[in-house]
Amino acid sequence: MNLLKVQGVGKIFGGLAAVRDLSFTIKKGVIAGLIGPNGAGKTTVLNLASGVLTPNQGKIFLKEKDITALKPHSVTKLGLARTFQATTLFSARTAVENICLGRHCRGKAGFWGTLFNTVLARQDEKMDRQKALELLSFMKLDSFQDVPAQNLSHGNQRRLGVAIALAADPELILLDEPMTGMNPAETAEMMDLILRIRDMGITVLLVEHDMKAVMGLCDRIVVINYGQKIAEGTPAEIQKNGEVIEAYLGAEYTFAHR
Amino acid sequence: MNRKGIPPIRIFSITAVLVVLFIIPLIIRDQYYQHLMILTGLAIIATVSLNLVLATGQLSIAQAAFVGIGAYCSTLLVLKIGLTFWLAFPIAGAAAGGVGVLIGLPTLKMRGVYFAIATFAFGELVRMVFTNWVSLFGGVGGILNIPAPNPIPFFGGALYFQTKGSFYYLVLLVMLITILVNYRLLHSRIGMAFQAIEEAEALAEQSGIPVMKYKLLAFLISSIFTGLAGSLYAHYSHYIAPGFFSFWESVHFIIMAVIGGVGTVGGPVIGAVFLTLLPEVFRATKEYEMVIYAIALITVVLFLPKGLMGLLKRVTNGRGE
Repeated sequence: MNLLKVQGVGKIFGGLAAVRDLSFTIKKGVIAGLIGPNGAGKTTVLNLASGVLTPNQGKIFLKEKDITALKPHSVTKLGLARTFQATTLFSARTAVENICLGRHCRGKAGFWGTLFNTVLARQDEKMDRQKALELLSFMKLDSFQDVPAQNLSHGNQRRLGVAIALAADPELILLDEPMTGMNPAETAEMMDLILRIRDMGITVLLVEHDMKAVMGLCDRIVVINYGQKIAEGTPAEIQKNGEVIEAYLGAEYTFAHR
Repeated sequence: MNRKGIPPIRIFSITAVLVVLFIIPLIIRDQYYQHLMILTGLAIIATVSLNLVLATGQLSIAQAAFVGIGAYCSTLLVLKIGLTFWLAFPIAGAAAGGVGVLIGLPTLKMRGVYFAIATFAFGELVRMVFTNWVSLFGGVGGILNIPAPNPIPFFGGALYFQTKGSFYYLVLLVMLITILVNYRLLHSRIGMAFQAIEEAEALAEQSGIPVMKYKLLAFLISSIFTGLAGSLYAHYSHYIAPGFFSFWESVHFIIMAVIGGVGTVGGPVIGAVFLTLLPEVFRATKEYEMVIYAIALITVVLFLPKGLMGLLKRVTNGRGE
């Protein structure tokens, strides 16, 4: 089943096409990669899929449902969560509070229930906390439960960012350069984490510059350049693709040394 | 609130404060002091309501306009249509809330200084309508002889609201409801989400928090209670004029909230009490009132980032947070 279907999507910024006639699909249960040189439009694609931007052309479907015009919070509620390229957290709040906020859309009590603190509202809060603690231990962040996010190390902050996204119980998670600024040990840990996320049954779309990570993790890769798809296939196919190598200019080097 | 039990000290102090609030007009019968208590109560309603909007990260400079909308709405309903205050009062709140939604829908997408300017412009627009639509709003001179709330039957007798002592209880009731609603909201999942919006709007939206809906919700609730405060004010002072609802009054409420400590419910309460009573203490030095204001504000901003509430917490905890 196609979990995400991007169909002929185009996005124009002031006359400049950031994404042009882009189509690809992501099957349920895979780790998919989206790569391309700097400025190729990868983050724009994520912004389009997650509802931050609305495309000028084309349509985007999540589980066959048209999400093209939906706002981010609705897209998240439908099961597509994402992380940000820069480490974005609720910095003054504790780790556990950060994750609870990520679960907000799963609340059942509604406004009046919350105002009057009904049984349902208290259940919501209990579930938030339970899920948050689960995710903290999944991320090996247990010991930082009550530490303000801003006091965490870079690696921990990035993992917390992923935890916020996971808190919404997504079926598809978009990870925007999760390894940026990480040391090799942290990168290895993040790779392991992504595999464990896949094993939880959550489909992953990974945007990443670390080719070793991308080639090692992904089942399928989409390559874009100047907002257009130039290749799609398994890591082995992508590494042999002449157009991809040309677009990367030196990426050949990276591939060779994996 | 019925979590794993509130600390007994908390229950005790809340009860004590409530008891004091209820018996205070029986002890302090001086009309001037009762007048101050009523004004303080009204200021608390407006400031606590403003705080809810500030909690979502939106700086509104239109608070006085919403007080004005509530005041004029309820006054006109009573004087021109002959409605009883007890109907005009909730309608005034609803009207202010309605205007809040109408203004909030196009402006709440703006952030920071842009939203502030938009609400400033709206506030001044409202004041100008009050001033220039003379046939309806009475012009610069305003509207005189606004009646006190009608007496309500009560166990064979009746409750009157002509005296300050009795009006105090009406204000107290509305104030307590305002505080309760705001406290509940700010300490709920929704309140957490409000503060998340303030802290990182894009992340909040992406995490599944309906940012625009919540900003609008905060603005709506805030406008309703502020409108109620306006209605109470009109039927208490018996006289309203556009000058009461100017930009400066809005700034006044912001200062109260900031000095008290934005984000908590206690902060705005303390700020409103402090800044309603402080000028009275320095009444003899009327010309210096604004100077004292300025010094108080600068002191708080420089030394007490969490306002007087933050100071209070630090003192009672014996240490910083």
